[in-house]
Amino acid sequence: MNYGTYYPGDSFWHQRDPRTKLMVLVVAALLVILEGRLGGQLFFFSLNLILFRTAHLPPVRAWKTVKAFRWLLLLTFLVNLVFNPPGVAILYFLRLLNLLLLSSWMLGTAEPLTLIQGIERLFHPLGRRLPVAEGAMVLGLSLSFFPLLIQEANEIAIAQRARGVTFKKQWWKRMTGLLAMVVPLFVNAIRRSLEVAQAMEVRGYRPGEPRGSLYELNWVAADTWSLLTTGALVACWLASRRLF
Amino acid sequence: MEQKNRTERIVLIALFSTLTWIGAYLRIEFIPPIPFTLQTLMVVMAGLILGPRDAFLSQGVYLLLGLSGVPVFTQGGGPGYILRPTFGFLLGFVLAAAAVGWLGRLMGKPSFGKCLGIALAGMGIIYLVAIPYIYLLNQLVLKTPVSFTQLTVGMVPFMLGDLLKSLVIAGVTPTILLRIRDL
Repeated sequence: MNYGTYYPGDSFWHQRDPRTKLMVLVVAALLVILEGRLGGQLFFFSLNLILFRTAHLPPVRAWKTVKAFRWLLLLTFLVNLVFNPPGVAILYFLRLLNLLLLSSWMLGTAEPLTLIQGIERLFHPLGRRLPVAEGAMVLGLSLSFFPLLIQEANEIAIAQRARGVTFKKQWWKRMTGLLAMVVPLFVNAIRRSLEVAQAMEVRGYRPGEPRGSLYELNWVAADTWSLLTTGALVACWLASRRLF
Repeated sequence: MEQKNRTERIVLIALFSTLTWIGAYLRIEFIPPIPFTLQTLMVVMAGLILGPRDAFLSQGVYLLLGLSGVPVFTQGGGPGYILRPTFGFLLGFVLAAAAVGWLGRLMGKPSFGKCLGIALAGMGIIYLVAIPYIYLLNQLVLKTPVSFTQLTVGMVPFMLGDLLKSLVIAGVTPTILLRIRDL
């Protein structure tokens, strides 16, 4: 399990609409970036732990997030320790950690495709000015091309190996081997994608025209409540800045 | 290949963002610390085949995919990647692809020399974005002061690697362009 992968589950946050999670992420990340008090960052850290807990994400995932960025976190902390008082070093360290944990939480509870759908719906009002639906189509196509192209690359590698190309030993031999793959990979990929375009048009795809979706997003009361809670958090945070 | 309708453009933009993704996986250790990935080849090809606007979009989509959590970058993906120093190179891909596309339109008949020039220009643009990005990241976020000169000197081994890569790209690009002309 990598820090950015989806963690299957049925928790409160897994059931939320991707739009809710995206908005919570954006608001929370903004607050974390703006927060300049150590106590505030500690508060956001505990909030992160609550988010992880309520999303039923295993604690080892939080640890893996720290591990994936250990050098960056360590460097930030150590260099700031040299130039600034220890409190500031801890503040910067915690700010970075909070941002990383937030993104790990969102990616753990939402699959990439639903996130893309969420982004598309969020930007839908801009649809008249920007090709939002086409953008989402490109993202979806790109995801589905990946396994196809990997399979294609493997087949070409086997074919070229049969012709005597080697992918081992010295680097120049490996490089010529790699290049022997690149030309057919390109030519086949482009030919195939032009066929995909034709197939899409045959099935009635018209860029810019309204489209339906097999899996509609479902906004429920809990989504509204999650956003209201986030709004209340922002209000409390603003009040705390006035008071302390 | 010249007359592309809107659906074909959508599909090709998606294809090239996936090819840049795959480029991150096709790698060999060149002179040990410097990895040779085929990503820059994909960026140059995107520019030459798609033209400036679509090439820009294809690399933008690649970035967006990575930031939305799909593990498309060499070390995964997710919004946290913005805080990695190497993100500057990925931003550089977007501009480099557009610039290569623009230069490609002026190229005419592809040859080794012209392709080498274009590949070098693309590499230059990637560094022009990457070095200031690392500098700004150090100054503003990590609060780690490193001078511009130190950064540039630190990049020299990678630049040498990219010089070699440009030679390889120039060698293979005219063949690919000729092969796909009739598709």
